[in-house]
Amino acid sequence: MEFLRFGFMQRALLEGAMIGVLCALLGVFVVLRNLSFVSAGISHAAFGGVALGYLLGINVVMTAMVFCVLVGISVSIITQKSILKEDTVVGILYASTMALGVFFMSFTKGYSVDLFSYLFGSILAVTQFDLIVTAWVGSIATFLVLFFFKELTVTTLDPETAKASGIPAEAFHYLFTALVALVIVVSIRVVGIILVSALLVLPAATALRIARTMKGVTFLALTVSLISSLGGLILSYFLNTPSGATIVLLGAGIFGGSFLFHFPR
Amino acid sequence: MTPLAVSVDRVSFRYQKTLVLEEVTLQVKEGEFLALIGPNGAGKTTLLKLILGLLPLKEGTITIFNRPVQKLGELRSQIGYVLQGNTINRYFPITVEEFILTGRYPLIGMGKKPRIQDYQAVEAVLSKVHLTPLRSKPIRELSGGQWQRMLVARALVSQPRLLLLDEPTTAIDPKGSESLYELLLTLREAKTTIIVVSHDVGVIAQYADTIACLNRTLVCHDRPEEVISAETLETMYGKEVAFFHHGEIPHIVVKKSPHGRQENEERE
Repeated sequence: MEFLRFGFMQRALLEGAMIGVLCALLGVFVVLRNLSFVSAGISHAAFGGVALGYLLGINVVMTAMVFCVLVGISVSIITQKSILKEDTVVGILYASTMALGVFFMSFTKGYSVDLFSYLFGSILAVTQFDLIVTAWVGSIATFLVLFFFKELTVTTLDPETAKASGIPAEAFHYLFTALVALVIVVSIRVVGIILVSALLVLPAATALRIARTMKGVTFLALTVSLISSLGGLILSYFLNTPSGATIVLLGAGIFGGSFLFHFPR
Repeated sequence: MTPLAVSVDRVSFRYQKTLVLEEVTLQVKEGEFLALIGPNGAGKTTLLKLILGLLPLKEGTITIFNRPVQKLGELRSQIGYVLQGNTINRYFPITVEEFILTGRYPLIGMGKKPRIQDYQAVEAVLSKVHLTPLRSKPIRELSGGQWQRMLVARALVSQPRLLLLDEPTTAIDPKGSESLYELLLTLREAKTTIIVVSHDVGVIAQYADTIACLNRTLVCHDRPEEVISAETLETMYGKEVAFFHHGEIPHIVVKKSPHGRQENEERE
């Protein structure tokens, strides 16, 4: 347990625990709402925000938040107002924001090492400021998801009927997309832009294979997510590997391992 | 005079440029059991969705219990419905009783937890639709008929004053269908207004107080014995119909066009 003496490791584990809980809580709804690809699109959009932050010399977390929330909401609006399918809109927006990021980076000098940590995550990268931002975002997201759990469930289960009964299904969709965007941004430091959506999807997908009720799925997703994020961080310390990749591979291993057992459909 | 539950006045509706409903005027009294019949694409589901406020009303007016459909507010919780071809994810991790409880959510209020009376209402409706033994099963394990009964139970759990059902007997066998209509009759006796969209003209005619025939425009709205005539049905379907009676139940068959095969071959 010597690694726990290091400040960077304590910060990384605390951050890992927080994003583990957040990703599991939101991930269940991401998977049930078929938003896995949208979440991947939102996370890639963060690259544009990070690059803009570097170029302007301002906090990259804030610029990434703006980019991610804008892309998340834009995907919903464009899909609703046009005949285009969601995957097409995501494909356009995430490629455009990634291109914008590369464009911004071409004007910035001395970015390569730090940029790599944003793309793939690093346990060395978590600062005190990151912990404070994650705690704030996490508290707001957890409160909203738990307070509106009933409404999120019914608008996910049957949006048309929810709308007919007066529950503002569209407003909940926008709120949820914004929350996903915020959680993605705070998770980037540890898991990285490229892999963060996997932490949203893998624990929930594993839990949905096994549990049969919302409570069971949520509890199991939390367990798998915490094992993946904390276990992955500790492994990445000992193996000297990028934290994001290690976390995701551990999550993927648990998901793959679940196929060794039979669970009734 | 019996007050009106639903009043549809000169309602027209277009999907893009296609006119689906044209100047439809229809009144349903409180406690009335109305069957809405018509061929595919006649605008039945569209009319139901307009009444539910799921589609934007641009031409004409609709009032529910004397309130405009756009301003129903809390009155929405007094409307129960079973929509056709619903988009519910069958693999959603939820049990039958939890699913039915979602029908009480508008009454419970946002951010609030279900109360004892909500669970009691679920209990009562489970028994009414004979789903009590399956209450703890995940919805993914239900058969087609059980699934349909569960949807009806969710519509009933808020004890609605107005109940809208779009082809509720789809995937239900004749016995289950009869049991569902018998249940609707008991609701009508309790003064619930019921609107059912159905293709099963002969069966629904036995239960409904009135039948409205829709084929973009309202072709007729009268008592079943007045509507179930060759003349009315031929106007509605635009084709010749034949009647076969089994006891008192009329079965209606739309006759094949004499040029039907030739037309099909030409189309191919």
